[in-house]
Amino acid sequence: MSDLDHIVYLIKELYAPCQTSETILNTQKQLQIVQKQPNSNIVAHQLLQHDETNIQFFGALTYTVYITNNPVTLELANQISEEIVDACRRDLQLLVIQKLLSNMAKIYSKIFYNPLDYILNSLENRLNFDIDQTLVLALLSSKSIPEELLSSKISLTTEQVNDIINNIFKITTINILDNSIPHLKGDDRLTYLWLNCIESWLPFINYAFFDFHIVIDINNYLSIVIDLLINDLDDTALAILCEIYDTNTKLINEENKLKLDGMIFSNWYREFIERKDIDDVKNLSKLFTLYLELNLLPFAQYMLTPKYALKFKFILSLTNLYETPVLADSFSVSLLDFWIPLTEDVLSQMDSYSSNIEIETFFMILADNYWKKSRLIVGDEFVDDEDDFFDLTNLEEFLNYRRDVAELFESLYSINKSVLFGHITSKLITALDTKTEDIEMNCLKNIEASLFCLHSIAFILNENNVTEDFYQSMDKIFSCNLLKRILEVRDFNKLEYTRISKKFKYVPFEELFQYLVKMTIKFLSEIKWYYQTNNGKKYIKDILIFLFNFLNVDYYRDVSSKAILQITDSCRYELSELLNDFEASAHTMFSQKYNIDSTIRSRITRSYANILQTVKEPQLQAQKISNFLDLMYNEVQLSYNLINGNINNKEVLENIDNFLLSVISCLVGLAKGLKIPEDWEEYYLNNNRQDEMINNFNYWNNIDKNEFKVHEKCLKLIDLFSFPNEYINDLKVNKLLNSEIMEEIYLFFKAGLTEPLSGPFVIDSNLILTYILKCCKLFQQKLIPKHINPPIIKIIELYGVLIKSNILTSTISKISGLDIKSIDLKVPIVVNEIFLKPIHQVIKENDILTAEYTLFADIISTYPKYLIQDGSIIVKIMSLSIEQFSINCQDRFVIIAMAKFWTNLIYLRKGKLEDIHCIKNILINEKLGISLVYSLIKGFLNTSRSIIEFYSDILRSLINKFSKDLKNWLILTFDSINKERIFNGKEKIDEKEIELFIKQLLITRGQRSANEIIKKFWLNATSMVDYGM
Amino acid sequence: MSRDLRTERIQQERKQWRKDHPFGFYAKPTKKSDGSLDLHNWTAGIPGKQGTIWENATYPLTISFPEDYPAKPPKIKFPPAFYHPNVYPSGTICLSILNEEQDWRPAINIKSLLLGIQELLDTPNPNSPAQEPAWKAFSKSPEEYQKKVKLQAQQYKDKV
Repeated sequence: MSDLDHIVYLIKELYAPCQTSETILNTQKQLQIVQKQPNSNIVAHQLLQHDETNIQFFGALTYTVYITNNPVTLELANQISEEIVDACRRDLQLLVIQKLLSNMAKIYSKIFYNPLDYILNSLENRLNFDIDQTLVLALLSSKSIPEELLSSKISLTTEQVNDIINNIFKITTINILDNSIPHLKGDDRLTYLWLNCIESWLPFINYAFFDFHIVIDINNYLSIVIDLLINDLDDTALAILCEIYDTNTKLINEENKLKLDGMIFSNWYREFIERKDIDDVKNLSKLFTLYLELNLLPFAQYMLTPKYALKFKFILSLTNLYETPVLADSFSVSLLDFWIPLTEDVLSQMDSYSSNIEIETFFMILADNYWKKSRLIVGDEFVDDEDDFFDLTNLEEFLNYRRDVAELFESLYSINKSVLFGHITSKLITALDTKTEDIEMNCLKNIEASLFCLHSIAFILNENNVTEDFYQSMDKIFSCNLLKRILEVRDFNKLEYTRISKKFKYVPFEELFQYLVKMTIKFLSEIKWYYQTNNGKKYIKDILIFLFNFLNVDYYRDVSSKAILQITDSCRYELSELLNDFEASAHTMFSQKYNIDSTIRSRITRSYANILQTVKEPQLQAQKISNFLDLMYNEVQLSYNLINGNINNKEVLENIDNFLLSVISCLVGLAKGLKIPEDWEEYYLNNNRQDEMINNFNYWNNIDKNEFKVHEKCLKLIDLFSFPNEYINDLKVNKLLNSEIMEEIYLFFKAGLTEPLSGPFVIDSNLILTYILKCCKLFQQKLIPKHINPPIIKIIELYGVLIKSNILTSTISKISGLDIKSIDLKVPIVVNEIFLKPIHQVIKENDILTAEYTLFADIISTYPKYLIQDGSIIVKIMSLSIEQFSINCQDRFVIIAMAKFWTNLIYLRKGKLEDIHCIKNILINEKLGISLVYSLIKGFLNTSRSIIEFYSDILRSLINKFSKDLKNWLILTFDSINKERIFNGKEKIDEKEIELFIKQLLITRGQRSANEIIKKFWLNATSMVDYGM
Repeated sequence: MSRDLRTERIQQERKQWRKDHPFGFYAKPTKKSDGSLDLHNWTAGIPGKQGTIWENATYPLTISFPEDYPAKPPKIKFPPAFYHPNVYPSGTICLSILNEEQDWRPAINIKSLLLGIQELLDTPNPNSPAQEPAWKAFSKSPEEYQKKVKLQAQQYKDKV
C-alpha cells in the first residue's frame, strides 16, 4: 500500500459509521501527523484529485493546516486558486469548494492578496460558467473574508482596514451584491447566500465603525433586506435587522427606519406568526422590542398624541396575542423590556401630561394583559394525555419571566396606585366566587395570578404609603373568605386526586394547587400593614391558623414558617390570644425531632418568643417557658441516650448532632426574642410602667425561684448540653464542651447578660462565673475534644461579657432605683484558671491567645486594678505578649489583640495613680519597655502591609505616654537589629534613616500623622512599593 | 432632562442587564416608598452554581452606586453575617474587581461583577480573609465549612 493509499484508508476509517472513539482518536492522531508534514500541500492536492467527497474535503482541510503552519506565499495563493477553478471544473460538492474558498480567505488574512477576480474570470471564460453559478461562488468567497479576518483575531491597522473596505468590500463585494440583485427573485439559494454575505460583513462593518470610525453605507442593501423580510418572511433578513438594532442602529437611515416602522405597525406580523415557528417569532418579537426600545423617549413623551396613541394600542394588542408566554407567545416576554422602562419614563413625566386618566386607562389595559400572562403554565399545556411530561426547563424560564412581570407591576403601581390594586382584587374576587365544584384549572390559575400580582404590589407597600382604598380592597378579599375557599378547594380536590390519579401519571391539578397555596402564603406575609387595622385584626387569627395548617405539611413548611415569623415580628400584640396555638406548634417542632428542618424549627421558636413577649403576667410567661424547657430537656436527654445505640451509624449520629445544635440555637432564639426592648427606659420609666417593671423584677429575681424555676431549668439544660458525659450513663462519645454547642451557649448567656433588667433568661452572674470556672478545669485537664474552634475561646469571651455586664448593672441600678447588685468578678482567680494554669495549651493555639488578650484588653479598659495590682500576673501577661510581636508578626488576629491590649495598658484611661505607677515601673525600671520596643520593631519589619496599622497604634501610644524613654528604646533597638543583620550577612538599615525616623516620629506626639511616617519607614526598610493602602 | 454621569451609566447598565443577563440572576433598582425608582441602590440575587455546596439557593445582595461611579466601584454587599471567608461581618465583599485600589475598572459591568461574585462563592480566596469563622473553617475543617454553607443555603433556598 502506497503512502497515499494508506492516508485514504485512514480517512475512510475516520469517516466510517459506528467507529469506536478509540479508533477515531487513533486515526485522527495519524492523520494529524500527515497534515503537519512540511509537504502536506502536495498530499492535499493529491487528496483533492480523489473521487470521494470525504477524501476531497480532507484534502481541502489539509490545505488549511498547511496554511496555518507554514509561511504563506503568492505561489501558494495561486495554487489554491487553481485548486478552486479545478474543483469547479470537476463540479465537486459545494462543501469542498467552500472549504477551499475559506482557505483563500485565510491566505488573504495573512498576506492581503485575493485572486478572486482571476478565479471568477477563469470560471466565466475557461469553464463557461453561467452568471448564477459564478455569483454563488463569488458570494461564498466574499463572505469568507470578514469571517476569517475576525476569527483570526489579528490586529489590523487603519490602513489595512481602509484597504479591506475600499477594495474587498466597496469594489469586489459591492460588485457581487449588485450583480446578484436582478437574479434574487425566485432564486432561494442565491437570496440566502446574498443575505448571508451581508450578515457576514456586518460584524466587520461594525468593527470598522467602532474601532476606526469608518462609516460604510449599506442602506441600499438594507432596503432590500427589509423587502425580503416583508415579502418573503426571510429569517436571515430578520437576523440581519435584529443584529443592526442590537449593535449599531447608526447603520440604518431614516428612510429604512420609516419602512420598518410601516412594517412593524401593520398587520403584516400576523402572516409571519401564522407561517413561522416559535423560534422565528421569538426573533421577530426581539426585533420589535429593540425597535421600540430605541424609540422609548418619543413614546413616553407623546403617548397621548393621536399618532402615538394608535401605536400604543397596536403594541398593547401585541402583548395580548396568545395565552401562554414562554411556550407560544414570545411578544409578551420580549416586550417587557419596552414596557418596564416606559412606565418608569412615563412616571417621571406624569406632571406634564394633559390627561392622567387616559394614561391610567392605558396602563390598566396593560396590567390586564400581563395579569393574564402571569397565569401559571403548569398543567394542561403539558399534560394532554398520559404520555406527556412536565417540562421543568420551561417552568424555570416562565418563573424568571414572572419575576420581570412582578417588576412591571411594581412600576404600574407607581402610576395607577390603589386603582390597580382594586382592579386586581376584583379579578381575585370573581375567581373566588366560583362554586367549589365548578373550580377547574383556569379558575385556580386566575386566583393564583391575582395573588401573584397583588403580592408584587404589596411587597412595596407599607403603613406610610397605603391609603384607605387599599384597606377596602383587603377587606373585600378577606370577606370573600379567601382562606376558607382555598381550604375548600384542597378538601374537594383530595377526592378528585384519587379519581384523576388513576387515570394520569401526572396530576397537574395538584401541582397547581401547591403553587396556589405557596402564593397565598407569600401574599399573606406581605400585607403586614393590613394587620394593624381594626378590620385586619379580625382576620389575623384565621390567617395564622391557616398558616399553622400548612406548617404541618412538609412541602409548605419553609414558606409558611417564614410567613409566620414575618407576621409575628410585626403584629405580635394582635396575636397574643393565639399563645396556646403557638405553644403547641413550637412544641411539635421539638417532638418531631429529626423530621423538622432546623431553620424551620428556629423560625417557629422565634415566632413563639414574639408572642410570649406580649404576655404581661410574668407567672404565665414563666409557666410557658418552664414547659418549653422541660420539653427541651427531655428531648435533648433522649437524643443523647440514642448515641450509644447508634455508635456505628454515621447518619443517625449526624441527625442527633444537628438536632441538639438546633435545640440550643432555638433556646438562644427564645432568649433573644424575650429580651426587654433596648429602649427600656422609654418603655418602663417614661410610660408610667414603673409598677410593671418592679413587678417583673421581683418575680424574676425572687418569686420564680420557688415557682417555675426557670433559671434553674435553664442552667440544668445548659449543664446537660455542656457536660453530657456527666449526665448520661456511660456515654461512649466525648461530648464535653462541644465546640458548636458552646458557641450557642455563649450566645445564650450573652443574651441574658446584656439585658438591663431581670428576666426569664437573665441568669445570676455568680452562677455563670461558677460555670466558667468549671469549664476552665476541664480545659486544664485536657478533657475537651480537639476542634478547630477550641471551645475555651467561648468561655474566655463569656467572661469578657460578664465583666461588661457588671458595669452595666451598676448603671442600671442607678437609673431604675432597683437593687441590682454587681458581683465580685474574681479576676485574679479566673485569670489564673483560664490563662496561667493552662499556659502551655494557650501558647500553642493562636486563636486562644487572641481571645485571652482581647479579654485582658477589656479588663484593662474596665477594671485595670484587678490585673495590675497583683504585680506578678500583669508581668507574666506582658512578657508573653511581647514575644508575640515578632513570633506572630504575620498573624493579623493575634497582632490585633496584642495591639488592643497594649494601647489600653499604655493609655490606662480607667487606671488609678497606683496602676499607672505600677505599669511605668514595669516598663522602665524592670526594663520591659526596651523588650517591648525591640520585639515590636522586629515584628514590624517582618509583618505584612495590612498589619502595619496595629504596630503603629502601639508606637503612637508609646510616643504619647513614654516619649522620653521611647527615643532611647528605639535607638537601642535599631542598634541591636542592625548588629543582628550584619551578623546574618544582611544589609543594615541606614542609620540616617533611623535617626530621621525617630526624630519625625517623636515630633508627631502620637498624632495620626505618625501613621504615614511609620508606613514610609516600613516601605523603605522592606523595599516594598507603595500602591496606596 | 440632563442626568449625571453616574445615572447615565446606571441606566445603560440596566438596559444591558435586561438584554443579557445570566439565567437565574436578578438585579434591579429598589423602589422608593412612592413607587418611584431609586436608581442608585439596587437589589440583586446570585444563584449558587449547580453541583457545588452553594446550589439550590439564590443569595441576595445590595448594590449601591457611589456618586463617582463608574470611576469608583459599586458597593456590593451580602446580608450582614453572611458566611463566606471573603465576606466581612458587615456583608461587604472582599473581591479585587470590587476594589478601587486593585482590579476595578470603569468598563466592568454589573453582569461581570455578579458572575465574579458567583465564582467567588465556591472558590474563596484563603489569602484574603474577611471574617474569622468561615475563613478558619474553610482553611482547617472543610467538613464543618461545608455543613455551615449548606445550612446557609437552606436559608436562601430558591423560591417559587
